[in-house]
This record gives sequence, structure tokens and C-alpha cells, in this order.
Amino acid sequence: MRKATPMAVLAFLAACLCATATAQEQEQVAVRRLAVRPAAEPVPAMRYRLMPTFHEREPGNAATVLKTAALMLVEHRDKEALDKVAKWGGMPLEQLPREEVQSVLSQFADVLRYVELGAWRERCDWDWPLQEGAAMLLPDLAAYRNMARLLALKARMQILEHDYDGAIHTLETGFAFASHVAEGRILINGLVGSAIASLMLDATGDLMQAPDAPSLYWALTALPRPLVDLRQAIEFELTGMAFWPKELRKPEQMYLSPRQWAEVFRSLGNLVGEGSRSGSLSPTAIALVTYTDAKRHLLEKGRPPEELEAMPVLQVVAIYLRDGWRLRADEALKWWYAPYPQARAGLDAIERVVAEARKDKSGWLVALLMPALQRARFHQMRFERRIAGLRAVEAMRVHAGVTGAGLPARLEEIERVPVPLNPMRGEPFEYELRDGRAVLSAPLEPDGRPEDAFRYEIELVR
Amino acid sequence: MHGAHNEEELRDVERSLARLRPAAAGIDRDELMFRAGQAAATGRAGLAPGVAVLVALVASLAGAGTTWLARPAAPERIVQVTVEKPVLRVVELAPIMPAGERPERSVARADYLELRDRVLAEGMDALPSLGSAGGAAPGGTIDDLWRDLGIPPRHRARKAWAPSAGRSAQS
Repeated sequence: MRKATPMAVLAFLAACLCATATAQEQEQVAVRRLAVRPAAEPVPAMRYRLMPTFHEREPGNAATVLKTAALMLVEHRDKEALDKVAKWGGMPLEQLPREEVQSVLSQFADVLRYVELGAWRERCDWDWPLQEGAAMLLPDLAAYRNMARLLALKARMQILEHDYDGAIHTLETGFAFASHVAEGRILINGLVGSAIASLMLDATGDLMQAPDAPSLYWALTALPRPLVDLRQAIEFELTGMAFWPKELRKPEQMYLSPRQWAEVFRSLGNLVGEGSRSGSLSPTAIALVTYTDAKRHLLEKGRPPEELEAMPVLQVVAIYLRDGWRLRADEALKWWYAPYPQARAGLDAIERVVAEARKDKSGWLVALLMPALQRARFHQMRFERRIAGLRAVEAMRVHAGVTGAGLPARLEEIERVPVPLNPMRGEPFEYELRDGRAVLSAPLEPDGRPEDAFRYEIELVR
Repeated sequence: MHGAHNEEELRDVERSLARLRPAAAGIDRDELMFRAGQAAATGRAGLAPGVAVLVALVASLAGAGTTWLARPAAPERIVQVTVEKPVLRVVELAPIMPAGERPERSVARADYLELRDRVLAEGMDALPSLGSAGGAAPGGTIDDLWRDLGIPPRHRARKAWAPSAGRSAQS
């Protein structure tokens, strides 16, 4: 009995700890609750679209018109109105103050018109001043975020007023706008484009729950995949070494004096930021720390010693750093190219590659300049997973519309339209029907945060 | 049809010209020469002083102008001015100095890289806000525009574009 009592206390404490942990985990996972109604497939099937087809678009460069819209937004004096727009974005549809929202939207009618004009153009060339390198300024991006919020608000307001055709047109504009923003050659374009598209997906979820809302199953299916392709930007930043001083991209082909090489290394300050001690970026110090390893590296690669002796010291160091970058960039890129379900482990390993680069003198620029590739890819796939999740919900609406029954007990019961797989895993979503409520979910990815979790709770209302 | 009509018109003109006959000149040569001499004699006396004054004035102006144009330029001076290099920045080298340690990412870095990594970590909300007043007044200068976007003009320090600068609570 004496032995049993402490054991029981320990077991009780352990059970309490487990329960607390589970509760915290459940609390942290973001859940989206959807109350949807049955809906038949539209006739004709592609009656609704969320992305304009190419032939519907106007010729011309979207960027010029979108930049005009950005200037119009900047010139708008009512900052408070934009703050309200941001606040209303997170508010349930039925709680929106209709009159005030309409008033604010009318203030920005010109901006919205120009966003539409730009979004429906055929192509988008941002023509960023890439020669500025990492010092490049991108003032427009903040304006595009506000434009996206305005568009989403407009769509939600149209849903509230049962103007579903209008809402779908606004969402179509929003998705086209997102894909144009993502068309820049740099990673941040893709990230902002992806975030804009996410706002449009939020509003799409609102539309799916509206009374008598049409089925968006095929409209969601017709969205380009990936909607935001980060491949070009990743290649530009990694293989193209876009933000390196140009002399360091092909250092063996540069014929510079030692003094000029020192200038190149000083210009690295533009990349890695300002230090607290003036003049602390000393090319001499870099040479002292790195040259021995750099020389050994090039000798091992088969460079004749006399050739190395003839080279400026900092040129040898530059080749060493460039090789260190390329080795690790390729190690990361090869996993970027692989399908995500197969690449997850490799993408996780990129973080280790970057961490290990810290210990190697040839890798110190890697840790500073390489984007968090694993996170970028996760962003992309998380968005694809949301589209797939909403398609699955729409498949349930179609199923309910066709069969007249409620939500399916198992996803396999849905036969009218294909139920999408979870693109992150390449396997079906987890599904459970409990007390008339369906739970569609995906396991939390190892690289994900609680807010990255995927869990939809679906209720069918008549 | 059209050509025949023209030809008929030409013939009419030809016939009209053919009807013209030479006539004796109506000018008396002797009288003309007399009157010309008379006019020349009366005009010269009145114009001469005026012409003289005019010529003198033009000559003096031309002389003054030539003198002014031909005067020597201000003596050339060579001044040495120290020009600050505009974009080169310095960086904390310390992290790579000891045992291959690398600089931490917390070191302030170039604008794009800083913004990119923040957006990757925090999403679109990491973008800076549109500024305190939502924008420059209509017709404002480009400097107003930069300021309201939270970006200093290019000749100022670029670090003010760091997303933390000027980001509102909402964003």
C-alpha cells in the first residue's frame, strides 16, 4: 500500500500533464468552421471562374496600371479608412457595418477600378531595378497589400448583399491580381502574391457558406497549380546569385587589382548590413581569416600553385566563397525541384546545411544571404493545401446536393466529383464525421507552426 | 472630257491675247530724270545728320560689346572637395573572425534581404504600412511620396526602409 500510493500519485500527475499538453495543443490549432448548404454542379460546368482565361484578358502590362493604383492609394489621405479595412478583414461577415463599409469602399472606387484594369491584363513585367541588388527599394508592395484587403472587403460585401456574380468577379480580379504580383523575379513578389491569394481564399470560404451560393468546385479546380510559382525567384536568388556583388559571381573571370578587390569586399556591406564599428569590414581581415583555407581549396581543385600565387589574395578568397555558396545552394535547390511529399525530409535538411555553413569559412555568406527555402516551399504548399481543402468541402456540397443525404460518413462515398488529396502528403485528408459535423484535417507538418495546422469543421445546414 | 474642256479654255485665252496691240509708252523720259534729280537734292540735306548720329551710335555699341565679350574670364581656381562615397557600407566582421563563427542574422542587413526574411517569417503583415497619413498630398513631391511610404529619399540612409520603421500596430 505504501508503495502503491506514490505510484498512483505519479500516475495521476503524469495524466494531468498529458491532459494539459493535449488541451494546449488543441487550443493552439487554428480551426476554420464552415456552415455550408448542398449545391449542385453549375451548368455549364465552367459557368463560374476564379481566374480569368487568357482570351478574356486585355493586352498590355499589368504592372504599369497597378503602380498607378498604388500611387492613388498613397495619395489617399484617409489613413483611418485603411485601418478600418484591415480590421474588417478579420470580422465575421454578418458583423460588418454595411453602411460604413460601403462608404469606405466608395472612397477607394478609383483605386479598385485600376486594380481591376491591371489584374485583367495579359502579362505583368515589374521591371524592378535589379541592378540595385539587395539595396533595391520596393515601396509598392505595401500598397498592394492594402489593395488586396480592399478587394477582399468588396467581395465580402457583395456576398452579404447576395450579389454572388459580382463577388465571383471581384474574387477573379483578386486571384488574377495575386498571380500578377507573384510574377516578379524575386522571392518577395511570390510571397506577397501568395498572401494576397490567401485573402481571396478567405472570401471564397465566405461565399461557399452564403445561402444559395453556387458550387465553386470546378472554379477552384480550374485555378492554376501552383497559383504562385516561386521557382523562378528561387533560381534567380540562388543560382543567379542575384544579390551578390557581380564581381563575386564569376570571380575567376575578373581581372581586378588588389585595390579593386578590396572595394568589392567592402561593398559586401550593402548585403550584410551595417556594423556598429565604423570600418569594421576590413578586406585585410577577411583575407587573414580565410586565405589559407581558400588557397587549400583551390589547390585541391587542381589549380596550379603558381597561378594562385599570381592571383590577388582576395580573388582567391572570392572563388572560395562563391564555391561554398554554390555547393550549398545546389544542395538546397535539388530538394526544391523534388515533389513536396518526397522532398520534405530533404528540405528539413537545408536548415542543417545552413547551420553547418556557419562553422565553415567558405559558408559564412550562405547563412546571411540564403532565404529560408524550407519555409518558402512550405508557404507555397500550405496555400495549395487550402485550395485542396476548399475543393474537398465543395465536393461534400455537391455530394449532398446529388444524394439529398447529409455529409458523407467517409470521403470515399463521394463519387460525383473527385475528392482532392492533401498535396503536402500526397495522400487523402483525414476525415471524420461526428455528431453530424465533419472534420477535415491534415497532420501538423514538422516544419509547421500551430497556426499552420489544417483543420476544417464542416456543418451542413438546409 | 475634262481635257477637252481645258483645251477650249486655253484657246479662249489665246484668242484674247491675240487681240492685244502694242501701245506707245506713257512716260516722258526727260521729265522723269528731272524729277528724280529734284527729289535727290531735297532728301540729302535732311537725312545726313541723322545717318551720322546713327552710324556713330552703332559703332559705339559695337565697340562696347566687343570689349565686354573679349574681357578675360575670372581666374581659374582649383578647389579640392572631399566627396563622401554614397553607398558603401561597413559590416561587423567580428563574427567571422573567431573560429569561423558567422555573423548572426540580427545584424541589420540590406533592405531587400531584411524585408524578404521578415515576410517569410511573419507573412504579408511584415510589410511596412503606407505611412502616417496614408500618402502625400496631391501634387506632393517625390520626397513626400517616399516619406509617406516609410522610405527616405535615396540620398538619405536606406536603413529607414527596414520594416520595423513606421510599421503601424495594424500591420
